[in-house]
Parts: sequence; C-alpha cells; structure tokens
Amino acid sequence: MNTVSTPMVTVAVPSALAGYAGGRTHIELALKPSDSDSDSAHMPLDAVFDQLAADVPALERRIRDERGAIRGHVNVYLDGVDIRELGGTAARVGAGATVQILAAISGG
Amino acid sequence: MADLLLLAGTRKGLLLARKRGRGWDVESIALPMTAVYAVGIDARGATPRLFAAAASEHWGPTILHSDDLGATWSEPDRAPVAFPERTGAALARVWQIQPAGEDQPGVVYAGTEPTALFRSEDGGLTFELNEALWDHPHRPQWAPGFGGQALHTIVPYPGEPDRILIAMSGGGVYRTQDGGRSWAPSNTGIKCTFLPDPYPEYGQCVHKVAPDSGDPNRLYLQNHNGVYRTDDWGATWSDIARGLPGEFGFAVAADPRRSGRAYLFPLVSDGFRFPPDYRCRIYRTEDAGASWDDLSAGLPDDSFYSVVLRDALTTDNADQAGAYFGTRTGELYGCADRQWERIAGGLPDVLSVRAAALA
Repeated sequence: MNTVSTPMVTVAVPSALAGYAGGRTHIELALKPSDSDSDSAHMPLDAVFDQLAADVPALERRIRDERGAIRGHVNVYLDGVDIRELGGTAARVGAGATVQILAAISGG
Repeated sequence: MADLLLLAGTRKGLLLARKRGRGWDVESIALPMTAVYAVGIDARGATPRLFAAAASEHWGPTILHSDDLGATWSEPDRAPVAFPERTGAALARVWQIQPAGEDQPGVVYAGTEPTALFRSEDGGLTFELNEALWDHPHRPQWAPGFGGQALHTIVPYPGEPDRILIAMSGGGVYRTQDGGRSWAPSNTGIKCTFLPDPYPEYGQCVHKVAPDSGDPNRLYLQNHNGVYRTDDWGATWSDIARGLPGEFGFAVAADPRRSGRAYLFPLVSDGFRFPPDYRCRIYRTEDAGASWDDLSAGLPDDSFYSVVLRDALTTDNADQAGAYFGTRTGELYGCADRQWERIAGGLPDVLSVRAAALA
C-alpha cells in the first residue's frame, strides 16, 4: 500500500516568541492549497499565516495585526528571501519551504 | 494599616511595589521590553485583578491580567482587544483600562489608539468595540496630538451604568446617556489654543479628567492649556487655574475619599513644558480648585526638568488616601499627607501609575 505524506511548511520563529508556541521555535503546518487555486503545489503566504492563526493564535497575532498585515518591526523570509522581494504575503509557498520570522533591527 | 500595592507602567516594563508597614518593597521589572501605557486594578471582587496594557515595538499590543497580585500574568490566546475587519483599523496601543461600577461586576472598559472605546463583560479578558463611537460623524475631525490620537479617560457614572464620560486627545470630552448607543461632545467652556475657534464644540485636546469623590457631577480636567471643573457632569466647564503657577500639564487625580481634593503637576505652557521655576512640585486643592497649595516636602530641591504624563499621577483608595506620581525620568514618589517619599528611581519613563489598599 502506498502512503502519501502531507506536504509541510515550516514556520521558524525567534526564541522570544517560543513561549507563545508551547516552547517551539519550529512549527510544522500542512500545505493546504485551496480547491479554487489552480496551482495545487503552492499556497499563498497569507494562507500559511491564516493556518497559523487557527493552530497557534497567540503566536500569529505577534506577527500580524488584526488586518492581516505583517507588523511594522517584523521581517519575514521565505527560504531565506525577504518577502518584500517576493510580493509580500501574496508570495507562493511550496512543500518543504521555511517561513522565517525575525525581529527587525528597528524598534525596541 | 492595610498593605498598599502600587503598579507603575513604564516604557520598558511594569514595576510592582508593596508597602507593608512603613517601607516599600520594589520588585524587579516585569513584562520587560514592553511599553505599559495603562495599568488597572479591579478591586470589586474578593481578589483584586490587576491589568497591564503592554505593547511590544516588535510584537504588538495586548492586555494581560493577574489574579495573584502580580506573581503571574496571563492573556487569552486570541487578542483581547482587536478592531473588527470592517473598520480597517488595527490596535496601536491601549491607553486606559477602567473597571465599571460595583453594580456591573465583570464590566471593564478599555480606551485605545486609534481613538475607540472597548467594553468587556468577562472581567477584562475579551473586549468588543463600541460601534457608535467608532462611527461618530466627528471622527474625521479628531486629530492626533503629539502623543497620538487616543481615548485615555473613561469615567462611568456611579450607580447609572448608561452614563459614561470619556475624553480623548484632539477631540475632547464626549458623553453617553444611553449605554453607549450615542455620544455627544461636552466641551462648553474649555478653550482651544490651536484652532481658529477658541471655544469649539469639540476638538479640544483634553489631557485627563478625574471625578470628585463626593459629587458624581463634579469632575476636574487638565486641558492642553487650562484647568477646569464641572459641577454638572460635563455640561459646562469653569476655569480653576487661578492660583496655579502654570495652566499646562498632562495629569490630574482626585482623592477617592475626600471631596474637593485633587492633584496636578503644572507645567509652564505648551511652548515651555517644564515645571515652573524648574522645581518638582505637585499642587493640591482642598476646595475643588478655588485655591491651590504646593506639596514639595520630600521632593528634589535641585533643578528638575522632567514631566509627569497623563496617567502617571494617581491616588490609592485607602481611608487616608495617598498620592503617587512617576516621571519621564524614571522616578516614582508616594505621599502620605504632605510628605513625599521616593519609592523607586532609575526606571524607564513612567507612563502609568495605579495604587490600591489591600484588604
């Protein structure tokens, strides 16, 4: 019998946020492209955060505000690339990707 | 003598101090690296519930609560205060946490930036937006002051929960008499030095309002230029700055046990935001603003260039209520009768102070 593993995405968070994720610094999320999405191998980064909001809401609200906007002093990288260079949270995320959250040098 | 509990929100965390007997025990700073613009003490229940509105520059704002006098702090997983999607707004920070009256256990109000009022019915765990104030037709004319556009004062009317008076920066005083379904401006007599009309219907930059303990229709107001009193629950305001060395300032507090007693920290003017003569002095009235005395015993004698922000002056609720203030240069003082003592120093800027006597 063949088993098909669910494609996953990893969200990596700084230790300052681990307390909001049960001590974890890496959260695995299932890649769930929407039925209406013609690209079944990817999902938008927004949807990754929506899933994070459902699974770990105390963590997600540190990264995005209630409008879904990335907070001003938070940087997000998709496989090492600043998402500002990839279309922001519309960037497409594929299986095995890592979404890394970092505190910006500003603020504080 | 009852123990006293003091909460001081600073730009980089929360300080708790306890007075047992004669001396103050000051704890290490909690909630580090968050700006605590509002603290609150809900003393209506058997155990006081403490609140801290903490905003991280990186990770955003939230409200935490403690039911063990600050030993531990908790918050819901989902944001306690969040703007509904239809507003298109996002919470910048919470400027005020105000429990309702004894007749409304569980009701707690929060004032925010952007300017909005939120109400909780579960003791301050989750809050909902007051839609009528958010949709108020004056909103486009409300303008932010230097500190931001915030709702910083919430005064529930004792025994009449449908009546609430609020104040905001760059908007002034508003009142509801129908439980928040409608709001009307209430600034008659309060001057405005930064608009063409010196006495507009609204738009004043009110800095803080404090209710008198003896008469629910009497309140004291520190304006952006001007100190006022109302004896008709905000319908009209009268100038009570005579006898003060300056009419500018941010904070006002009233004694919760002694009617007619209120405190200010005057500054010279909006164009010269220093204490008069560069001296650290609190001014106190015993006659509802007819006259003012300076309280300086125990305060620094040398030159003082700091200020006291709008929520950094308060009183406790003891029978002989003490007064407290914190400064932008990180000093925290308390006063029993007319003698001040330094409770802590070297703190980050003090943004908010609340105190209560513990049973």
